[in-house]
Amino acid sequence: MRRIGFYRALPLLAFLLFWELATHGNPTRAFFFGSPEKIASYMVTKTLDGSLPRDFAVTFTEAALGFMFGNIIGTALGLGLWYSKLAFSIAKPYVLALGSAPVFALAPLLIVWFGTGMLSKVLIATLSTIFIALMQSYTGASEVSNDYLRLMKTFGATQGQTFRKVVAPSSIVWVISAFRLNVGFAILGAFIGEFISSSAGLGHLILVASGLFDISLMLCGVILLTVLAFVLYFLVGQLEPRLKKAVVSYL
Amino acid sequence: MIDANAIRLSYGTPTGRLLVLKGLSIHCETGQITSIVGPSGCGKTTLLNVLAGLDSQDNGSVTVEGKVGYMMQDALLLPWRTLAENASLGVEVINGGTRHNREVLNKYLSAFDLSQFSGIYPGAASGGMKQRVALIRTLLTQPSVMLLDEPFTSLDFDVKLKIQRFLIDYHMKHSTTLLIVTHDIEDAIALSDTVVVLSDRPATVKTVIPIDIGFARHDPIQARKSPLFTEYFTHIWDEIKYLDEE
Repeated sequence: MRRIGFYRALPLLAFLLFWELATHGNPTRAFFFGSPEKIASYMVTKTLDGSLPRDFAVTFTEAALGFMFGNIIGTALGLGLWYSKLAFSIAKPYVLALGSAPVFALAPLLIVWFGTGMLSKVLIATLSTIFIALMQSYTGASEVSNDYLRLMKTFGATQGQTFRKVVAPSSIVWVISAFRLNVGFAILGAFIGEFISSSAGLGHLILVASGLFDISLMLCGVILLTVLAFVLYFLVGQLEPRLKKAVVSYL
Repeated sequence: MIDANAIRLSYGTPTGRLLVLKGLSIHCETGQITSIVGPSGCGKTTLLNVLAGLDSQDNGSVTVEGKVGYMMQDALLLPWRTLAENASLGVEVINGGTRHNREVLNKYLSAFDLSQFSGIYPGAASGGMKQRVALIRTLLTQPSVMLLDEPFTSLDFDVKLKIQRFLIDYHMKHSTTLLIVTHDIEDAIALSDTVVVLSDRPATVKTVIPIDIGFARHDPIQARKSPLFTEYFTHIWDEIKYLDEE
């Protein structure tokens, strides 16, 4: 396992070494491509002055809240639509229309309506994730084998019992898959919101750095966005077995 | 009691309507065991689906008196539930909660040689285990009318005889009405009061053969040793063979 870890790190270390050698002592290259040394220096100084942890915390909060609201509301709606094919038929064009509208286009509207604070970023992140959660959970629910539904019918199960005993546990794989997909979309939503208008967050950091042509600082923000994605993926990974167990045990 | 009168059922297919049951009538008295045999694909499962209320007939009437338990041809175990949890699914639904009598469940698991495997998931279970779980799932709901669709196909011979003996005991104790669809003529004779032979599709009742092998019927092994067993076998076989020659 340790050996795999070493081999995994090897390409990254080789790349960093090459990058550092290529930019070290060459201000022009360092200006255009940044340098690992400068990035590391920013990481340390901006962590110590508290600005980097604050930006990270802001984006993390926006993305995590948007992720949470988007997935909860989307999953509830998607699974809820299983109860009525008519309701789904009515809702489908609206879901597709809203789901296919680029978040970048809707984000300025939300900022106008809800201000430049955290609320609008959370809503943009929610909007980025809700439709994927909805479609995934509905697909999961509607793809449950008809044989299982007939089996439940032989027991005289109500629609609610069929939902709890068969549909919900059967759809959980789709729901978790939506969670995984939505990690990236939630971060993207929060980032877009910050990029359009903000006073804090990693999007704001990158925007300011790009205005100053500070490539190293921009990359510093990008790296932290990646770390943020890893943290959310890790949390989803932790949630997955617990959620599966809870759905099977308590429904 | 089961009473199906002049059942007609057809399915829509891309090439038109496919007639499956053509005026089929069948009657099973309360507390009797009836087996249905017939050519493959003749509509035996469809008939059980109609009797269980899963499919609706185009014409004809169906009366089933009592609480119906239906063991479908496929075990249909839920992959996220253990064998024990699958076995209790029906009773959970009927009781409206997750409470069930663990003692009764354990009794059945033990009788069906599944105690050691109760905690495993269907993915790790053999076809025979799954079929036994499906039968327990039906029995736990305490039906007064049981519809069993090929309940012994995946079972080894010794396990099959053990379960047949258990079923007969259960039937005698609870006066359950059993309607069994099987392709195995020996099983049909060993278990039943009556064997119904269906024609090829569209299915109608070809012959109804009452089985009387005396006390031997209380034991599937003794039943197979009965001198009348061969006669019944030949009779039913001739009916089915006749279908092949048609």
